[in-house]
Amino acid sequence: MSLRIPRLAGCLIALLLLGGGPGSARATASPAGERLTSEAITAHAALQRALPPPEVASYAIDARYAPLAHIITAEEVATYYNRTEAPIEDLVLHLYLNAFRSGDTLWMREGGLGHRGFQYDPGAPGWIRVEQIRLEDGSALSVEAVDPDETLVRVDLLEAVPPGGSITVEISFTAQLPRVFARTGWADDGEFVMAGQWFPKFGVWEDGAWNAYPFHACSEFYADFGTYEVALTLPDDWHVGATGVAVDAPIDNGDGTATHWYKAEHVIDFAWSASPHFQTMTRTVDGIAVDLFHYPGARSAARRVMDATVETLALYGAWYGPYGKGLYPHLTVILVPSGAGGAGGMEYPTLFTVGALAPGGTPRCLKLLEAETVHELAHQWFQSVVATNEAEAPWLDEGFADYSTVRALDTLYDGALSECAGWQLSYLASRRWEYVLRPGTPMSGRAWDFGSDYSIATYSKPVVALTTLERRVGERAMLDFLRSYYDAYAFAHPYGQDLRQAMAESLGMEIADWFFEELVHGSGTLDADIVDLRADGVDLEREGDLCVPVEVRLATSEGETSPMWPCDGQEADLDVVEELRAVEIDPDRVALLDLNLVNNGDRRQADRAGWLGFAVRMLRVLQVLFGLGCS
Amino acid sequence: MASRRDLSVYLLRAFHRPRPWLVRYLLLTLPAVLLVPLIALPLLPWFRIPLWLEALETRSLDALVEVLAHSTVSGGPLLLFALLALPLLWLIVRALWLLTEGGVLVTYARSDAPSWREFGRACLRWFGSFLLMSLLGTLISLVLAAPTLVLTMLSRRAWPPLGIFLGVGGGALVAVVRFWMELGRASAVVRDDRHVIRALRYGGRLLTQRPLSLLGLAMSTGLLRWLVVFGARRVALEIPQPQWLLTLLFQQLVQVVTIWLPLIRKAGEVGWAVRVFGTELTSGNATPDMRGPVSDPVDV
Repeated sequence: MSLRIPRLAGCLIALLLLGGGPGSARATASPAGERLTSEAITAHAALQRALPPPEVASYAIDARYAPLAHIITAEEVATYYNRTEAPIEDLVLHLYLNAFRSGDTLWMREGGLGHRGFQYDPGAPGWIRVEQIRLEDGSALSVEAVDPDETLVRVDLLEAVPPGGSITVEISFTAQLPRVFARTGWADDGEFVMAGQWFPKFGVWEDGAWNAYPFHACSEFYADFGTYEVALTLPDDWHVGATGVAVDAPIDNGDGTATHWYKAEHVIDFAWSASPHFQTMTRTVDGIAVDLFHYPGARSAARRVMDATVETLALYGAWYGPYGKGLYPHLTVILVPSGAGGAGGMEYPTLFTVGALAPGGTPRCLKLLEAETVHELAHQWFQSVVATNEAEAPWLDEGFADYSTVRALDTLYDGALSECAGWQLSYLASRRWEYVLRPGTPMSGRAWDFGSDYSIATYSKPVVALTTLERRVGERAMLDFLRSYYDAYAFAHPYGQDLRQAMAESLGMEIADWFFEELVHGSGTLDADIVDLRADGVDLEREGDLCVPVEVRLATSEGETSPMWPCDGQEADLDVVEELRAVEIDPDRVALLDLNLVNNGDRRQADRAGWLGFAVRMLRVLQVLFGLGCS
Repeated sequence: MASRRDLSVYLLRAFHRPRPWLVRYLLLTLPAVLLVPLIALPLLPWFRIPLWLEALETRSLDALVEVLAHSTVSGGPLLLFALLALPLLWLIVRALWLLTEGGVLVTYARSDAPSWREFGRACLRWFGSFLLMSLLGTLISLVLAAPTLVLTMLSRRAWPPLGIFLGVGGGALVAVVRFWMELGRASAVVRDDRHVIRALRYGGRLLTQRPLSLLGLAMSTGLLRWLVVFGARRVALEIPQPQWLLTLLFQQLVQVVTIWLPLIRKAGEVGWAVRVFGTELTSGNATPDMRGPVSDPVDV
């Protein structure tokens, strides 16, 4: 999912309504096989790791968009390559837009007709309809809904697709885009459109079954890598930004429309945006052409987004590896206009959108735009290239993207999300406070099972956990691990156990076990506390099941020492010979998971000089207050 | 040359006659000194918490929010009292400020410095008129500001540059009204005429006869004040929290300067009023000392 600034509300789920019924069932055409072993998964992933990665799901789409009716009519030729050892007896296709066809769908019931503060407009719904589906030889196929909302359909095949084989189907479809809602739709009286999840899309065939779920409110997407060749016909004065690269200049059809051709290779999705009002800003970074589309009047905000994009492209490249593993020559950024915030803050291969949080921009001291930009850009590494299953393990891409956001903001803006009025608020702290609200939330689980804890499980806890990990093992070791993970699983679909394996290889089994047992799967908490501070020593206590070995700084009359407090017990007694003056547990803030940082430090005497300094400054503040309105 | 000397005489009175700045300094400082212990004492235990010290030293909202979320305050009632007393004290200071305005202007308008008693009498004498002028000025400002604000908000949607223009223009209008009131007070004292409407007319006349000089005086003292405040803020951030004595000396010096600059402006306004209306107050005599016809204005 796109960036979510901490919210208490999060994603509400009607657990009773779900109840494990067909709405939540994973589509399986054949009996689900046992999950492959770690070795088999690694071998499977290895098939896809070769560069350039082999195609699995490729599409050629010829689409025409009518802005007044918000309708897409299209012809799609979709090819699925069976790269597994199990035959495929049917096809499963996502029809995501049907989640928005009314207020009664599963998505709407779970999401409460809202998404990130934006409301669904029942008068402007979205839907998608397969008019016809046939094989290349013209044989008609039939479509059967898997869920009542038809966000997932099954197509029975006349013959199974053998291992190593492929199948091509021709699909005629019609889709209506909703008024901008949940990342997709039209705005500005139809003169802006953001088309995401707009075409029939294959599920992922793995483990002898289709990995594809009905569309849940808290879920995102999962798809295979392939080639997209897309022709988009729109009014001839519209400007288009899309995944991939433009094949050539738009072709004027002579009837008031123009056709834009795009090709994208080694990608898992194709999205596009268009408007007659778009202006473009272009820069090239290390051979990557960056095009930013924005509305007039948003040039200042666009400049900020472009600056953040360009600087962070270089950072992520240095930290993790080349953008697109060197296979993506282009990046498109869409700064959505005011009124289309619901389409902002979302990632697609070689394209991302910003403007969900502050489409008109914010004061420069408030870095919301920059935070959103660096977060969505991070998804180009963790989601577009390391293409994890966002439905079953949302933290695997969002957690890494948010962790990258913290690192990027630290490097570019000294960590500040806000530095207005001379006071600094960090992005990391804001995420940590959200985590502290519900600290016992595991990170593992399906997106829709978290309920209102979705944001904590997917964003807050992972970013705090990964930052704790980095501080525990050191930045260099952490970056080495991330680089090797990106390298090993580029153009693949790693799961949690793959990440664990990579972590164990890079950082050691003990660290990997700790991270996964206690943080990913565990619900433990941690609160270190100073129980008793005396002149000759200090008693410490740890509450909760979680443990992170940390330093304890002891300030005595003779100087400072910093012994380690290992994870060998809930209590510790530290004695000193000299007079003890102050104690601080974890002065370097390694264990960010600690629920209360205030009780980590204490002094035997109050800092009188500091207090007087505070009083003196308070005097000046009051003098200024009393002088307000007096000239 | 004579006009330059005349004006400088009045400007120098702001330095040679310190009573106005002393009164103003005490007006702002005494209530602040009263409230500081009520706020600071309950927070003394927090100065054992390293995170709180870090918040103050580094201006970290991260640390500040963490402390506020997890700490308790032992002297809650004191803090609450301070919070409730603050607006009340502000109103009292505001009223006293206006009360002393008469004494301040008479101090600069008279050829010889008034005694404390005369200062006090002048304060009481002019308070009623100045209060009415202040209320009138507020009313005029509201009448101008309210529709301007509405127009600004509406036009920002249609055409942002127009909205910005209206907003800035509206702000400038309100500032001009306030300045007009101030000139009215200076003119009233110089002419020794407590009639509010006539005072406003004098103020308007003064502004129209010496627009550049007066606006230049206002803007230069205003700019200086802004520079002092802005610069002082940057310097204060560099002084470590425990260096309380240095902080106290520095900030009170800044306070003195920021009180003095508007007083220099008022002294200048009185000087210009004397030059325009050709009158100057003498000791113990409210009747203006007429010095003949008003001479042609000479720009300084």
